[in-house]
Amino acid sequence: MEISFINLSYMQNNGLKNERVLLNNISYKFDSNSITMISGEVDSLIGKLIVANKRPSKGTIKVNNILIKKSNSINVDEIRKNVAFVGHTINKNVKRKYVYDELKYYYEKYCKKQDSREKRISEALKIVGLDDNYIYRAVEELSYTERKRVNLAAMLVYNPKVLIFDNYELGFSDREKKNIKKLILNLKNKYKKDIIISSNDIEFGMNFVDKILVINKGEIVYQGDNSSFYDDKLYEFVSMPKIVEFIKYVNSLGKDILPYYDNKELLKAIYRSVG
Amino acid sequence: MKGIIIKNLKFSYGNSLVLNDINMEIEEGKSISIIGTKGKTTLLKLLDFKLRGTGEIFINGIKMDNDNFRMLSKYYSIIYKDDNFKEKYVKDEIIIALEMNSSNMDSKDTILNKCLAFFNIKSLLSLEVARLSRIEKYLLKVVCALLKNPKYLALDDILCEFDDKLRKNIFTWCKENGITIINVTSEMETVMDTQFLYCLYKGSIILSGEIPYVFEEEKIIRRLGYKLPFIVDMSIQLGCYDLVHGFYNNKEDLVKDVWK
Repeated sequence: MEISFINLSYMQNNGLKNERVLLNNISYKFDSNSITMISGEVDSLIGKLIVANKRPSKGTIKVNNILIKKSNSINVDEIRKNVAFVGHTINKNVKRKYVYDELKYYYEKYCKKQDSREKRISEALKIVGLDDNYIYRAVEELSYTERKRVNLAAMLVYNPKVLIFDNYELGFSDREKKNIKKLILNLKNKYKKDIIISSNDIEFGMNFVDKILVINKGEIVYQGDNSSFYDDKLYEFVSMPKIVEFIKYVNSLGKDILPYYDNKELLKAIYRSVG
Repeated sequence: MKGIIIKNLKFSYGNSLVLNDINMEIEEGKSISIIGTKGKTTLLKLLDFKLRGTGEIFINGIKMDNDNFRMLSKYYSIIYKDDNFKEKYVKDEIIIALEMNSSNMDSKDTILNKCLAFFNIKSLLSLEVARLSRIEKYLLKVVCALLKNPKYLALDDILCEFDDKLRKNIFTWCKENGITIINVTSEMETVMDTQFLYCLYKGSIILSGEIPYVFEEEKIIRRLGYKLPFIVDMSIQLGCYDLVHGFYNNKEDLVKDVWK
């Protein structure tokens, strides 16, 4: 599905004394069937612009055939039927009292065929690692990460073409993050979804995303791919993962360790180096 | 007696047991971290009296109950992830926070100026809260909590939102101002800034201990689904190869020991 930015600008407090330029004349076309990570200062803004939760100050966002401009009339539901925004503010995103009602709401809103609702709800929960025991649970009784999973299930239930994960991985344990990555890869490879991840957790994106984009002071300051995680230029704007920091430090002392993404491989390399 | 003591705390949502017989001691001046996949926020809400379970909570020797929980709330600030702001502008949030500080006006002015300069947020004062970035909002929450001058600051998975430098600044401020941090977290790197660790699993504390010695129980921590902090993990694994001897919490000392 096509998503592209055409001379896109976004200013907060537009025209006022404390105006902040968050996006400045950006043009970018997202690859289909790929995982693009966006890091830097933009936070949830990119996702919110794509689903028309916010409007650009200037320029255009193209979502398939729909052009989103500052103040034109658009069919927002048509966008949101195809592009799901999985936000991180759970209390705002999960609004219904019971898990079933939350998923049912989105299914009924965006699915043309209504006959397989119960099956789809159960499957969506299963995909995110929640069993049928959760269906009739009250959302307020769930842990933070369970609510996040319910939020994701509610987006998956209507099978959108694009999923935007907004700092989704925050709050999960390391094992759960690994499972999230597996899920996202599955969504891309098996179900051919387009994935956009908005996050400053570069370690989360390592050896996993297809493209990485960094936005700083309104500009795209870095574009890279899966081979970019040892590029010093990337880390002028975002924090370095600990493994990268360690290997770079060791190599600065003349040790010549290869760039690894995995602690186990690094350990073997150190052993060989010392031995 | 200074500190927070939690005795036999239990809580269920309906038939779902969330916390089962929790016993904890948080010494004043000794920051702690709490990890676990369920029950962390519930524990904070019980401490905050937003939820009522069975068991006892003592703050500085006073047992918390319906009559005194408001009075005792001056000792602590708790920051939740999804807390809403009350005011439209940053400066108004700051003013409300300062009003909850029971010091005299001069002290309030001093703490305000020091805090704003230390965390470099003067430029945000005139902005609308809704216009702040996610990190700026969390920083504002932290600053507001610190301006109340509590004895204990509990952060519900907030420290992981900040980079290393800002996190260190928060710990530095708290240390200099006698504030004990309760770091509820899913991010193990943030645990290294604290002195004691509690691990929750299925409603019970299954592991607790001083950092870094608690990491000797690495198998339990991994079973919970967490990785150890990177340098600690490397120390332990390289120790298995007999390449290092002891725990390290910084890369420089670790590397010196490996390539001695």
